[in-house]
Amino acid sequence: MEFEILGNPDFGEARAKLGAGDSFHAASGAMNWHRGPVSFRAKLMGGFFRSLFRKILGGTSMFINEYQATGPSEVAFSHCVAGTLVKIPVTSEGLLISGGSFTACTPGVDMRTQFGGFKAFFSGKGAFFIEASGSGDVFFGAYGAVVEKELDGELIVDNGHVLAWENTLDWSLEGAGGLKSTLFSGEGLVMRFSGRGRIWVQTRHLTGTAGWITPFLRS
Amino acid sequence: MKFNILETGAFQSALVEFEHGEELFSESGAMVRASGNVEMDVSTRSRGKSGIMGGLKRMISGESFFVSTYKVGPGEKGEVGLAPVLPGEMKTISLDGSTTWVCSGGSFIAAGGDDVEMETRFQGFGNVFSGEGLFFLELSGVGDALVGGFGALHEIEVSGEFTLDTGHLIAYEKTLEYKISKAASSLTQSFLSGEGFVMKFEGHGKLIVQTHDVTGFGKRLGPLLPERE
Amino acid sequence: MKYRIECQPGYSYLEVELNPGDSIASESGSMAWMDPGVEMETSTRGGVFAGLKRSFLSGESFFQNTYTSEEQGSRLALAPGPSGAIVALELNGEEVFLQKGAYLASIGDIKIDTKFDGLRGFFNEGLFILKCSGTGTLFFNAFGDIQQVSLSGKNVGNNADDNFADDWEEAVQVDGDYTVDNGYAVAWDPSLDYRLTTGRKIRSFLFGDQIMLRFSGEGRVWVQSRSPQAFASWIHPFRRVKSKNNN
Repeated sequence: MEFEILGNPDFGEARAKLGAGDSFHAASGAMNWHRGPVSFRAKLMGGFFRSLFRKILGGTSMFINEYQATGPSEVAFSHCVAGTLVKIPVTSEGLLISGGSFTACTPGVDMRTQFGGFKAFFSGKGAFFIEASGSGDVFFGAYGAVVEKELDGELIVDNGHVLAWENTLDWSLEGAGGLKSTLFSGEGLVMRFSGRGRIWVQTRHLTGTAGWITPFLRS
Repeated sequence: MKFNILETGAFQSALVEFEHGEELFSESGAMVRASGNVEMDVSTRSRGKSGIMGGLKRMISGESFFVSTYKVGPGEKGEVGLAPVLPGEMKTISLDGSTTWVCSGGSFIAAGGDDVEMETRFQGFGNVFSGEGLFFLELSGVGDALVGGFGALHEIEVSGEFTLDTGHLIAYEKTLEYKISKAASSLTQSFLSGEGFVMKFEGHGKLIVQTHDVTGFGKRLGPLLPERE
Repeated sequence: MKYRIECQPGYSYLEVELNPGDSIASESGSMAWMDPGVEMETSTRGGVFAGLKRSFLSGESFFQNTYTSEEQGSRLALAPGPSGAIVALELNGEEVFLQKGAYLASIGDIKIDTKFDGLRGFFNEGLFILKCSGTGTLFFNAFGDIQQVSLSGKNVGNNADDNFADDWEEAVQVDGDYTVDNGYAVAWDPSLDYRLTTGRKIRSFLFGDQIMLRFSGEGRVWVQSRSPQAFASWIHPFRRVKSKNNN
């Protein structure tokens, strides 16, 4: 099974070439097209919210699709918002991925959902993260371009710009600069990361785009 | 008439140069700029045979479809700059008289040349689920057409079968036939999978697809905006 | 103060390095990530009423943030709302007009005013422009790519042969007038004259989304390759509908 990513940094799309018996998982709605003998089934993702709600605000639904090929076939998939598609091998400590950004993974990757706490719920970004562990590759899509940072210390990231991070980092969710600032600064929630590890951030977020276009909307 | 796609990566736009006697028409909202000598006429009719759309048919994407036609006077040359609505690429389709291209309503940007005909084809209620908009445009004759989309545009040669997720279609050659069907084996599966419906193409011909799905993006951004009447 | 613009032109962001004594003002909501030493202060620059007027009419947020740092070399990344490019413009006691929503940040002594231009519009949309003036660096963002068009001021009548080559260039020069659809003009020099026009033969029953700006004289205009107005029309049906009952 081979994966090729085209179109980065603007419009990342992955093309999977499958042979008989190959399979992989992709987020709902991620598939663009396919040809050849391949079919898919929706499966529940493992984790805390297994049997609870189906779709969470702005995030991937709890179901992921398992694609199975019975012969030579091809599947193309991408994230629903325009940006870079990243493919990373899962590390032994695990990767945490923002819920709405997960796009696909190879078999052998264990996916569990993690609840970010009630504060995250109000951030509009979705209440959960996906923890990817095991072995294999995971694909996640950014809104915008991706900046990978090697952190050794501390970094504060606006919640909407967080894409993924290594589980070796400590993190906390807080208001940006205190209550008054949070309410009035327009910055919303931020995540404070500390320790050593990699963080992936995206250069756009939907709330920013929403704020920008709002004055142009008619009633 | 020359169609130039300006290489600007994620935000391609096009520049059309034309002279007196040639007629260019475009989706009205696509015009960015025009040289001072270009005469513009906006109408609700589509050019070509059956034509009358009533001008007020709204596509699922919400844009009404108005056609602008551009002309210049004797001995003059004019320029019109065009762009699609969303970030994405554009492509030129050559019409050489031998084939008809069917283009999804929201992808059409412009067409022109010696003798290009455009006809609207109502997609019919059975196909409303496809998310492509209520109508397609059929382009035939001799000349060039411009399409634009959300994401990167790829031209695919189909020979046999090809399954395309709805929302990713830009245009296809009429030598291909398609059926709308459920993405997965059952209706529940199709719904849970988030893939919904797909277009199953059969035959031999070319297909132009976009990498990103406008509906997916709209559904993520829409709820973050103030409510509307 | 050191700054860098990265990921041009599609999804660009601005990164600045703050040392004690430095400060940068930005549109609220644009902070993407920052080192822990950066301090953020929210204020309405110019007082409450100036802030209100600016936000209400021109769509800028009410509050702007000022960032400083007590530590050396603290980095701050600012990201715009729309996908597109960022332009850094040095102002030397000069003025520039900026489309609403395009302001990202400014360093130095730059004042932001609203200028209400709706009276010159044919249709009811109006043109909400910000006037940025002073000395310092102004950062503004575009929806799409951005191109700087310099009008030479030469009078060449109606047959202007614009110098738009087959390739996209970052800066071009044109002679004569330059007509561009309203949504695509991001910023321009006040030295330019402009008129609002519609296409020559618009049928009157059509509502006029097609407002065009015809620039003449000498000066620069920055053009973006996508239109916020067109995007707003496109996203309209995806918005939630207001519920009629409020029980």
